[in-house]
Amino acid sequence: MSIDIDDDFERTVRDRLQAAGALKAPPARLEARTRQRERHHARRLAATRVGAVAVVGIAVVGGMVAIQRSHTEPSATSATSANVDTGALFPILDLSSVPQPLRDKVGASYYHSVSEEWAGVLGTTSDIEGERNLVVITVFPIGTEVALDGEKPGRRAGVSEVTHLQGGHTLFWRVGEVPFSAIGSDLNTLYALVDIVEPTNDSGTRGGYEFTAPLPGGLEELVVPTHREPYNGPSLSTDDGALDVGVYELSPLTLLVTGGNFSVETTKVNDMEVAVGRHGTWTAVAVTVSPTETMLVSSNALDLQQLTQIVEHISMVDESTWQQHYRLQSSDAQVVTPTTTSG
Amino acid sequence: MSSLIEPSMPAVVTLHVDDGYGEVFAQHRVAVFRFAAMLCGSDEVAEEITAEVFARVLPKWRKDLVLEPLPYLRRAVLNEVRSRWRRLVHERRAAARARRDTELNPDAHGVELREPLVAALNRLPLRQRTVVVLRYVEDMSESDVGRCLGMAPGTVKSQSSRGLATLRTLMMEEDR
Repeated sequence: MSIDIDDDFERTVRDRLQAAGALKAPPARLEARTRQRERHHARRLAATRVGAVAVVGIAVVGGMVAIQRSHTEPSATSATSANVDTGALFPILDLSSVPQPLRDKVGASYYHSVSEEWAGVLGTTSDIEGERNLVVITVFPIGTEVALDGEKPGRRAGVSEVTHLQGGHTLFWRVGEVPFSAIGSDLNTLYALVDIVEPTNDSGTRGGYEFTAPLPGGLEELVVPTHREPYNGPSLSTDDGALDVGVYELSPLTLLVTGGNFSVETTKVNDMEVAVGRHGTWTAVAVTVSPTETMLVSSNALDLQQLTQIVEHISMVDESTWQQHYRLQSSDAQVVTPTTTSG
Repeated sequence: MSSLIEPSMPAVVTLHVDDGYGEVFAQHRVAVFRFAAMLCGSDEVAEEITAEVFARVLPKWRKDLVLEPLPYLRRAVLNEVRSRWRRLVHERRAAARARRDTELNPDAHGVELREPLVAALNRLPLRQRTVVVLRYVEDMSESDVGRCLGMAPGTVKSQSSRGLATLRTLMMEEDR
């Protein structure tokens, strides 16, 4: 549809907006501000061969895969990250959007991630119906011991394999001293990747891992390897998995595929593009909330419509407002680093 | 058509002269900041967005993944403005910085006089606002706007017409 606008008005708009635009001068501190943001991003992409962290236990989102890591011996290289980032965005639920039976069951807490792995996502991008072939590859710091529940020897020496009840597989192997894992739905693809993945060279611009041959099976790199820093994140959840809301320093695809969703769709909630994953009775909605953070809203009881209703009504606030709202103490955010872990 | 006057700037301090990025920063920072400011209606938030966008484009520039910096930077700005959540982060940072600035220099906080047309512009839906800013502030042709936004020229034309019609209505309301 075209609406007739007379030339005079169009000229007026042009002249007045250009005059207003001409007054828009960036402040002198813009360069310093840019450098500050650049350093912030560079820290997140720090070199992969960091020294091994003390003990870590990470529960991967969705509860499907639990990788326990324990320290064996420190690597010869430098120290670990001393600082733990705390998220900038904290979610508050509008309880009126939450189904009645769950309203009194949601509790707030912090989760602590001290893992320092690099993770990226490969996948097919074709529109062929059915599951996309999606794979998350993770490389852990040298010295990390990775144990998988239900682990059994894989098809070849040096590779361990787990088949998950709700579909999908995880492989674990080492390249030299460097531990790797791959999660995906197609075992043949995972084994093909074992042959062509290796840690990046220290002098390279890419972090984490790289490939020594073209990717198999029409895979493309959907998310380049991204470093995960120690992080304190907000979590709102019920005890039974009926509702979980968290903010994570991972991409939506990394989060969803790691949680066992190998058929991820994108859709819109209001103006927001969201990624939706489903497996079994589990449904998850992942929303990018900052350049480095994703909010994941998931449930083993609610359907997509109910989850999007909740997402639409979530307010993001700062940490102190969130603590006040959910009556948490600042001490709840302290990370207690364990010294041992069980597999 | 009138051309834009480059505002007087302090001496340009370049970023990463060796890899050419400094030149990109110096050459485009005014245009990128202006685009962000006109789109989001706040110089403070525009500063955050501009800094973020340049900082994120830098690694891509170094890898030769950015062939035409200005359209790429503009699209990056638009992504920052379009995402409700990302924008919230920028607004929060800008507000925190404004508070610090006021504490350090309480007398410097003046009242900004706004051009009513700019205020009306900020009431347009984002899609129309983006087209109007690119067409009339940045003086881009319909086909260039289409290429920048991934829209057909006909869509650019209709969005532009609707934007102008809404602006005229808003200005008439303002005059009453």
